[in-house]
Amino acid sequence: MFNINLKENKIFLVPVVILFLILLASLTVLRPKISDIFKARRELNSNRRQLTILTEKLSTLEGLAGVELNEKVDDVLRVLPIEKDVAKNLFVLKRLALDSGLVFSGMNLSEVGEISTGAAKPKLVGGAILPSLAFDVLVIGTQDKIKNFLVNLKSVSPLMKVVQLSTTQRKENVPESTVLIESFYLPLPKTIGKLVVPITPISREEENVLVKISEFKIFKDEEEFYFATGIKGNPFSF
Amino acid sequence: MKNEINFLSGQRADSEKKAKISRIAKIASFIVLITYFLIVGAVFSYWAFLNNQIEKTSSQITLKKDKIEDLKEIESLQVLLKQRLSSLNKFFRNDKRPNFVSFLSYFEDIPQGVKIKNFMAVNTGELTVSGESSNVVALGEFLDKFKEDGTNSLFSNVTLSTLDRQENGSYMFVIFLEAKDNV
Repeated sequence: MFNINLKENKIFLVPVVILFLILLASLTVLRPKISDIFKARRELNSNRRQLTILTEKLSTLEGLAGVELNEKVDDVLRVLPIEKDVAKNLFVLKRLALDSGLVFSGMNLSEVGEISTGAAKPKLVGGAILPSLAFDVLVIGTQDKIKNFLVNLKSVSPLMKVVQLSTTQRKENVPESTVLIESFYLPLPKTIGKLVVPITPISREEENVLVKISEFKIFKDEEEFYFATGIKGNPFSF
Repeated sequence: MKNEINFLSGQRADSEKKAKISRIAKIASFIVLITYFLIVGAVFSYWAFLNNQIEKTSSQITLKKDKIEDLKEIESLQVLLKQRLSSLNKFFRNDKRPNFVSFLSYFEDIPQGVKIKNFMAVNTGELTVSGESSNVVALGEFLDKFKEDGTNSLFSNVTLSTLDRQENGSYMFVIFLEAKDNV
């Protein structure tokens, strides 16, 4: 049926061979190379993206002043410590009561739980934003002094909040108050800086928070205080 | 004169045509081949260019990573600062601390003869106040204070929960109050 005369079609041999070789080379060499090109383009694009992030990150980091940053971190850590610091809270509340003219009659801690929480997961109850440690503080003093205490508590390091206030008139006509206070803390972030994750800048609102907390009262030198007041037996000095 | 007849002229024309086709086929094949080589060359050059670029960017990435690694401490401080500030910002924004001081001040100004014995305020804005009134007039005045408060800004809901007349004629009372949201 198909009778191909090779002698007559000899002239088409060269083009056919060339086409065959082109086809073969395309399948064995060109096609994998084109697929390599696509892969390489993807890799290059990803590298370029990474490089942009890293360049931005590096310039941000180089623009940050280490000393200033250290001071800011110190400020926020004073206001929001990384763990439940029972001793510090006891000291601050005692100082705050004394500074407000109150008699610090006692303190009760409930559900302290793990003390070393630097790496622990905080338990946030009822939609709370920050984990906290609750104290019942028992103070004796006039209403004005209680008010002073409440005002001062709003801007003290570490960050505290009054949950409940209960005042009872005693027979001696001096009110005795029980103040339920929450003292806040926040464990360290789970990851401290992945290389290819850009640095999130501090927003204006957050800068305002920094200004606000820098005005928070700090009580220093626990040892000095205990020595000066003659109060002995800080039960939490490890 | 002798005439010659060429019987092969048809065959020659055919072979000339074939030769022409063959020449065209060969030239076309070579053009295709050269074009193909050019394409292959271009593909290989582009591939080499891409690899070169990858190498360059990779070395730049390594360099930047090393520099960032040197600034690891600053990065950690920044991350820590950001974490704390964003949490504090959220806390202050959502913090609806009721004004305990205002509550205390409110009960400082009470009619003579009325004595507050217990005062309890919760940060949800609920208050329970219990006390004693030496006479009914003072008690009336004291309760009127809350009526007036309906028009001012401290409490939204005031309920007289208990009222007991004592043997000595005094009155023991318990009042529940709810502070307004903006207090």
